[in-house]
Parts: sequence; C-alpha cells; structure tokens
Amino acid sequence: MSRVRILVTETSITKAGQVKHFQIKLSKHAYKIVGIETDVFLKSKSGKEIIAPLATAEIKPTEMVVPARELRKEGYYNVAGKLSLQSMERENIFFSDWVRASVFYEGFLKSNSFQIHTGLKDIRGKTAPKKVDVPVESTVINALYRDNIGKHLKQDITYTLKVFVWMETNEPQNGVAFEFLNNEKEATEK
Amino acid sequence: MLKYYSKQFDVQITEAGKTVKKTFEVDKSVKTIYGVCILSNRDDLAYYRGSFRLEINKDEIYADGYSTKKIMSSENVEPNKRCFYIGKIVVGNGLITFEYTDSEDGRTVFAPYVVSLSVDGERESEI
Repeated sequence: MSRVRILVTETSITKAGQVKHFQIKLSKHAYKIVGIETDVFLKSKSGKEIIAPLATAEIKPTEMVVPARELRKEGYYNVAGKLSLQSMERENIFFSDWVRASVFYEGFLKSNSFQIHTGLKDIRGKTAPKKVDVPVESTVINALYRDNIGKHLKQDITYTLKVFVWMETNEPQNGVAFEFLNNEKEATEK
Repeated sequence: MLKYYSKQFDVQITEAGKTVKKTFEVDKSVKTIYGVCILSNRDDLAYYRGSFRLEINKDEIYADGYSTKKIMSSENVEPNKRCFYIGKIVVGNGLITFEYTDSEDGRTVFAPYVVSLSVDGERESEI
C-alpha cells in the first residue's frame, strides 16, 4: 500500500480582487496527487484587528465582520475566491474550484427547543478532499488564486488561504489509507 | 482477541494564538489505531481557530497546519461513524503526539477551551 501524505501550503490575501500566483512544493517522494482541499482563516478586514477581546466568549455574527449592506439577499456570502492548480507536466489546469469560507451553524446563539447549541452548517456530513488523479514528476505545482469576497464586498479582507495537497509517496513507512481513499475504492467496487 | 478501543485525549487551550504540544501514551494492550476525530467544549472556537499536527508512533499522519474543521463531524453523522478512518496504524511505542495551534480568526473572540483528540482502535483482550 502506498503512503499518503498531506502537504499544507499557506498564502495571505490582503487586497480586494487580489490575484496571486504561488507555487506548491511537493515532497521529493511524491508520485501522484490524489486529493485537494482548501480552507480559509479570516483574519480581519483592512488588515486591522476589528474585534476587541471581551470578558465573555461570544460568536460575532458575520454581519459584524463584513458590512451587512453588501450581503446577498439570499443569505451569507461565503465564497472567498477561486483557486486553480496546474501541474508542471501538463498544460491543462487539473483543479479549479471555488474556495469557501466555511461558516459555523448560524443559529448557534439562538436557543432551540432542546437547548442544543451545536451543528456545523457547512458540515452536514463529513468533509472530504476533492479527488484528483495527477501523476507528478517535478516537485512543483503552479497555483493561481483570485480573491472574490473582497471584490464582492468592495473592501480589503485579510485572510490566510490554506491548500492541502494529498499525495501518494513511495516512502518506506507503512501506508496510511484515509477515509476518502477508502470510499473511492468502495465506489469502484460497486 | 482484539476488541474495540476508544479514548479521548484532552488539551487545554488557555492563551490565544499559541501552540500546545502534548504527547500521550496509549495502553500497552492497544495494538492499532484506525480512526481519529476532534471534539471540543467550544466547537465554534475549535472550528474557526484551530489547526493541528498529528503523529502516531513517530509517523506523521496529519501535517502541521491542517485545519481542525476538516476532521470535525456534525451531529448529523451517525455516532459510530464520526471518526475519520486513517487505515490501521500499528501503535508501536504507543505514543501519540498532538500539536494544536490556535490562531486568530475575525469571526470569534478567544476564551479558554478544551480540545479533545478522540482515537478509535483495537486492543488486545483475554476475555
């Protein structure tokens, strides 16, 4: 069994509509990319800390972080931007997807009949990386990210974009089979 | 005879923006670990602010900076399926290293909280 490793790459976005090119360096043992996942750590708007520490813990409603006037009528705007990845060996872009700033259950502070304040809005089940199957020979992937949330809100939003690359490696250690790989096998068996 | 094993290891997060590293030792009877998930008494803080690194038997399973939210399950998931399967990993020296990093996120305000690493595995039992 091949070993699967996760590579974490971070980059900062500070300007509205920012287009950022960056490179993801893979391990020298990597021979295939099997999954891509993304995440956003929203720091603040305009690069300043906007929330003063309070004595009691509290979840700030989204509207306090981003102006309410700019929100879409149908609800919370959580598309941070679009990420495209290109392997050095291939001309085509092998991954292109919207990056979403996941939101915790919005009704967290509202009591319900059972007083259970939990639930992850964006995790209705479990998260899993998006499967790709890209053999790699060189150790670099080109990445292009376009900010969307700042452009939409017409202001600078500072955040850290994280890209998780799941790759198969030919290292001598025991293999690790993550859940999404297992699901893939089950799906093919069916 | 191998039986089901499950245990939670707690890490106290008392300061914002800090990394807490802890090494736990599992019982000698534990042979393999095949599932992990993260729980917290403040799900929202762990969800927005957390990232971690996990090492079992000196073998890195999740790289440093991997988001906590990616291995949290909602209550919509069946209780016996909330852990994330990582294949059967031989425990070996029985050491689990968990490094949790709290980082600022504009949507939350820090308050001390506890993050629990829950592991599922197999233990040897004579009964």
